[in-house]
Amino acid sequence: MFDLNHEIAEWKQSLGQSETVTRPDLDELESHLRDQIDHLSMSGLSIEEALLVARHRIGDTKRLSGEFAKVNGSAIFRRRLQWMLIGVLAYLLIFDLSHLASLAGTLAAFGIGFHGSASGWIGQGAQFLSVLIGLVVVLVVLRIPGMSRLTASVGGGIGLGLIVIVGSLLLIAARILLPILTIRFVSAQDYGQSAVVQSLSALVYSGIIPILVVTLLVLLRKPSLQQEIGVH
Amino acid sequence: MPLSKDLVAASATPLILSILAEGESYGYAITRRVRELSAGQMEWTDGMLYPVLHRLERQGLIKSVEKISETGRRRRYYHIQSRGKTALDKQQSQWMLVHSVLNQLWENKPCLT
Repeated sequence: MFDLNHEIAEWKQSLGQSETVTRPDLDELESHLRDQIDHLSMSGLSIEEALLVARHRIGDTKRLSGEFAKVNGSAIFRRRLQWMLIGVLAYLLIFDLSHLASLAGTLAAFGIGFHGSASGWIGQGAQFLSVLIGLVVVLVVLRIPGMSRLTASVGGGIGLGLIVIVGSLLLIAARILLPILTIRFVSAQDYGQSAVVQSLSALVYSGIIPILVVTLLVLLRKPSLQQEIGVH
Repeated sequence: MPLSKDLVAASATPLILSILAEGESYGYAITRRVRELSAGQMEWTDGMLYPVLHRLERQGLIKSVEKISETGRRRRYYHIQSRGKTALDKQQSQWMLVHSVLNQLWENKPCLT
């Protein structure tokens, strides 16, 4: 059964995939398409035929998104910048929280009677675990339908600003408090041994993570135009 | 007769401004008016009209308002602004100049076919 609304929604969605066409643009184009369909069907075409002709007249997705790119350039740049900044925030958050997890893990290990490097390893484990959990949370949040649009639209919102400021203050307080507690309750030698183990984290966070990120960037690269249209 | 890409691009602004100088209008009606006036000879890709309208609005030549149309659909209506009228006057004298030069050349040298 032919469903005009469904067909139009699909057409809109495929056009909307190009980041150069904004939502108000899409609504305006939809109104145009519907006017054209009304007009054509009044002159005797079936709705299906009218849709085909109207879609042809309005132009193909590729050319349209190219034309809109010329006028929406700054909007596209802004949206990309927002995403980059959201990425920076997410990274800082995960990094700070993992550092806290490491400090807290080490301190807890000392507290329940571990010594020296054993506590260091436990702290390391806590840090690694918190990074993994943080990454999973970020990915899950971004996959929730509509969330990507929401996150992009609140970028710079007052609510987000408040959350970030309060969160930062809490993190700073915790990062000052935990070392003070460590110094009070842990002997210098024990602390030294655990710190040596902790420094191994450089291997993961300055070595493995950048390599992983670069690998992801390479994998996410769009196939070149030639591959896309199947030129050999 | 499909117009060359350059000519479509060059004529879009004076066409839109002239149509809006007659009164407020919206995208679909503008494309219909062009089709009507050229007896279907000028073939535009309709969607291309909107980036031009948005550019003209950003330049302050026209202004848009969203309204509910008689069909109950939301529609963006465009109005010409005083800056748009000045721009249209300028465009008009330039196009008339080109027109008159070409006309004189073609009148003196009739078509050979």
